[in-house]
Amino acid sequence: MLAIAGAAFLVQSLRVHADARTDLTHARRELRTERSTRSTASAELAKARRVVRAIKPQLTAMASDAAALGTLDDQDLAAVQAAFAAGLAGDLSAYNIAVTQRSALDGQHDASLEELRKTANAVIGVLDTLRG
Amino acid sequence: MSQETVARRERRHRRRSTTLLVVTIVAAVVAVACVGAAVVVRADSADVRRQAEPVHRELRDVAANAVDAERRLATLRASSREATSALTALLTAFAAQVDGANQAVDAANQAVDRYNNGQASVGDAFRAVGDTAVVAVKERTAAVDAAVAAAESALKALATAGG
Repeated sequence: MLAIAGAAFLVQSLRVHADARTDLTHARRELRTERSTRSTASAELAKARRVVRAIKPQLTAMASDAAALGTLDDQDLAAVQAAFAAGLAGDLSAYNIAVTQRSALDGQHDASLEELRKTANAVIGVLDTLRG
Repeated sequence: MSQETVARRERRHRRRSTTLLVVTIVAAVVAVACVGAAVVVRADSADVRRQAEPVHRELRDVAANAVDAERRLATLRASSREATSALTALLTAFAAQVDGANQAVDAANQAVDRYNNGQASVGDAFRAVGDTAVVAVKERTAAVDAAVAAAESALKALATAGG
């Protein structure tokens, strides 16, 4: 009986050992897989962040340029409204002043818009490379 | 019963006792050997489990980091898509405002031409062209303001997501 019990204890211990070995092998294999997955995700994240950091000055500049251009548009609207109001009132002098004010905005507005369009298109081109 | 028979029985009894003793000793040795081997195997199993412990811990860390990297990458890509569409909308809004302003200028020029040709007074000439063009410029300028606000927000979010 003692010998049988000892043998059973040995068999049970061998099973436990085999389980532990299997668990270790499985964990190591899984770790290798996870590491390769992580390295892919981390590499893509690092690349994307590099891309965004590289265009950060343009992002900041575009936000303020767009706001400035919006202000020019507000001034343009005010000049157009003033011109029409003067026209309706039959005040040619006021109409001419409004038209002159609006014309003065044109050069700056066009140049700013063209600059913003170029920067925005360049940034959009760069951002297109981030699509997964 | 003869003396010879008694002696034979005793010999047979001694042989059985000896055999039983030998079997018992062998069984005890086998039992002790099995237990000894089992103890060694169990100790080795504990070593293997100890080796697996840091691997499992690292596996959890690696998985958590991978999930975090994927989440941040997804956020960055979403911000990028939003910034792209906000910039596209912004350029469209500016272009529409320019078109609207040009139409208003055309309308004003028509009115002035009518006045210059002596077809109407200044006021009548402007009343004839109406205020449709001015209303359009007003609406498109409001659309520009909204597009500027959306672009500012999207660009800021992208810059933040980029780190």
